[in-house]
Amino acid sequence: MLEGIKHGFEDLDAATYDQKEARRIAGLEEETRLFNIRRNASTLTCRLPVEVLAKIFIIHSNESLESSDPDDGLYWGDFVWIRVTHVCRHWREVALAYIPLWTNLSTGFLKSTNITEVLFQRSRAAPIELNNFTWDPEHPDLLQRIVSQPSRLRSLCLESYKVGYVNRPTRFKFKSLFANYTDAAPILERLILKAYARDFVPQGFLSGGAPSLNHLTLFDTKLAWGDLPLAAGLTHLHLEDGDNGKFLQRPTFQEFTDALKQLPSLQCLILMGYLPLDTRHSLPRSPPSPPVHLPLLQVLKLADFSDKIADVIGVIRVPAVCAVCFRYRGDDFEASGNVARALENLNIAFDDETEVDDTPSKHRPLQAVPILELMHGGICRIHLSREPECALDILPTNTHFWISVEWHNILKQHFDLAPLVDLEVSESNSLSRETWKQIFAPLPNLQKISVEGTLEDFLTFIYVLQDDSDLEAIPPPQDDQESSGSGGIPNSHFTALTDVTFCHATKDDDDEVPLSVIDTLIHGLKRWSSRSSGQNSKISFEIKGDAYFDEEDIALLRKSLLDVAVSWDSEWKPFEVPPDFIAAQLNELSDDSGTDWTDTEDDSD
Amino acid sequence: MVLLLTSDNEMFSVAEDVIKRSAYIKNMLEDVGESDLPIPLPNVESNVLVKILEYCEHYRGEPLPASDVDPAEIGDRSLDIADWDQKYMAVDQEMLFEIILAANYLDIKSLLDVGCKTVAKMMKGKSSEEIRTLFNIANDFTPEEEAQIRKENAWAECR
Repeated sequence: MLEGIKHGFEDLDAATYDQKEARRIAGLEEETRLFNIRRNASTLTCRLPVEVLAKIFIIHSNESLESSDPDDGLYWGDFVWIRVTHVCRHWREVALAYIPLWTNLSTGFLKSTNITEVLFQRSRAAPIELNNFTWDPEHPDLLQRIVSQPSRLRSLCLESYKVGYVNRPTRFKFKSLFANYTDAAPILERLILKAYARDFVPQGFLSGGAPSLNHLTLFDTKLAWGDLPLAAGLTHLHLEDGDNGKFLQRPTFQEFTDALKQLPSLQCLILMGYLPLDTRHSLPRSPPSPPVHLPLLQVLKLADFSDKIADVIGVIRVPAVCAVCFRYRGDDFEASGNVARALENLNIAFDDETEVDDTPSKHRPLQAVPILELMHGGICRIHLSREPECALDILPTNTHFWISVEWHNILKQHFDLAPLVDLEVSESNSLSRETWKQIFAPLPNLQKISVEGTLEDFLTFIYVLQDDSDLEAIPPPQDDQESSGSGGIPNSHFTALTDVTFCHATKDDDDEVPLSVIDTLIHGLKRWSSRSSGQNSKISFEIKGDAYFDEEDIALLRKSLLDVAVSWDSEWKPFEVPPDFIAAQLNELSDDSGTDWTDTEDDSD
Repeated sequence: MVLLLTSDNEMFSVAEDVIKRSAYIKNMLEDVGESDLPIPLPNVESNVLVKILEYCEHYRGEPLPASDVDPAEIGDRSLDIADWDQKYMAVDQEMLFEIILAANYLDIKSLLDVGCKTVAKMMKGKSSEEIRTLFNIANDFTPEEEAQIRKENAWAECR
């Protein structure tokens, strides 16, 4: 065999022989490659029309580019999709020719921006999106080159200099990146800029206009109200200033309302530290200006000093489906009465005849009543919702803070809690015994209470549940007498309550629950069950988590509380294989072996 | 009823509201009006048409996609496929691609979308070599192209 291969090369020296062999190998390789091209042409994927193959590629690439929440706007995906261009020549040609594949230049976690450079080149002159950027010394001017084409930008989301994830600084600053950045960005739809470390966006930014802008989020950019690139089609406006607007050129009240009037498409309005400089109290007495209608608004979040929030909420009108959140800064809010004024104004804001789906909000059914969140210096949040049923969710973010009864009284005064049927309390140590008694116990329709916290916190609720002394009797409304099942219940608190859930907070120690605590629990639940004996439905007590209780405790609870359906989500149950699973497995076996393991008439037919 | 004639000369009689999921047939019916003549489908074989009709029958009565905008192009980043569609697409590769071709020819957007998603899902997490094996494709790059590809791979995965 070797003799045969060597035939014809006997007279050549070694170098010439090698050259000739290399040429021959290259020729064979080229022949193989050409053969492979012909062979690939007949494969299934290559038979697909080019536009269908491109569609598959873009689905594949889109899936790998993940975005976090809309306010963040940054893409954290990877570029493994680029492998489709490495499969064969045909696929590569299709992918390279399909420009939409290359227009998202966001680099995510990549250390190198080489790939961004490639994407930028392959995007040719198409509109581009840059939703994240990592500065790379190999391409120091790349970002500048990209943003210097504002006419091509469709989306721009950037964080300026910051030691970011995995300690990689993004070494650029907006103040230099956007110096003299005054051209128009005609197709820019989304702009998210987050500034750090005393960076800022210079005056005149996009002063040429961004008429297509529908999403604008600016964090700490110090851009003055008058310099904001507001476009009539904005649906999302989120402006946040970490210094409470201290170093910011805030708008006047008039400028503020005039600007909002030009933004009728707003669906989300979040203003933190951007509320007007002057308050209505400081203005000379003049006839109130007509309210600003934001008929499509779904989210309204205002964070500022209490007087500013109260003023602003007094002049805007939002649909009943709008979720509202106030976050107060400064410490004067409780004493000044501004919170009460804001809530009063909020009622007016909702009660306006803003029409949604041609139905005036005040005629809309209960499920359309808004969510309300009250933020107290970032410490507590009260979340009131009547969708689909009236529910109140209390979630303080600081476990050492107690929600005062006064706060709840403010709530009670401005919002009718009577229809409340479902109460969820997270971090229940924020609720004192008095709060339970005065605010929630008398509610006539309250059917479900879920308490998340420590056992001690839960017992605070249990004490109130069992003890009906000191309570002011509030009869349920006439309409609700039937639904609340008031017939057989002599006492006036928690009259409609049928479901109680206790979700454990994590416990630090492994100590067992003292028997006295179990006794207290049993006693409280017994009192409740005896008072509820006239109700049609059996009352239930559910425990979630296994930090405190074990099998024995649950058995004791069940034994002692015969009238209460006690359930525990951590209960050990023997594993039962679902019948469908067995059938499916048998079918698979029969497919493999050719034997039919199932015995069904249908199959035999 | 609408008569359809496949490439292998099989005739199908199909309810109009079923086959109207195909924009191609729908437009043809609107243009031509009622006719007893069969609509020839020279690009669709009978076994594929059976499968296509199964899909149209399943979604009978459901609203047709309103927009011409391709969800993938507007950033639909999900590879989610409805349970029934997944089972429907559990066919061999040959049939899968035939369905995609037929959906494209008959202009059934939702089916084309499901087909493309199914293929994209098959590619998910695979290397280029694995994709080649999956679809029986041979490497036909020149050594120079290979070198460029190696670079791109390194950039795309450099974290």
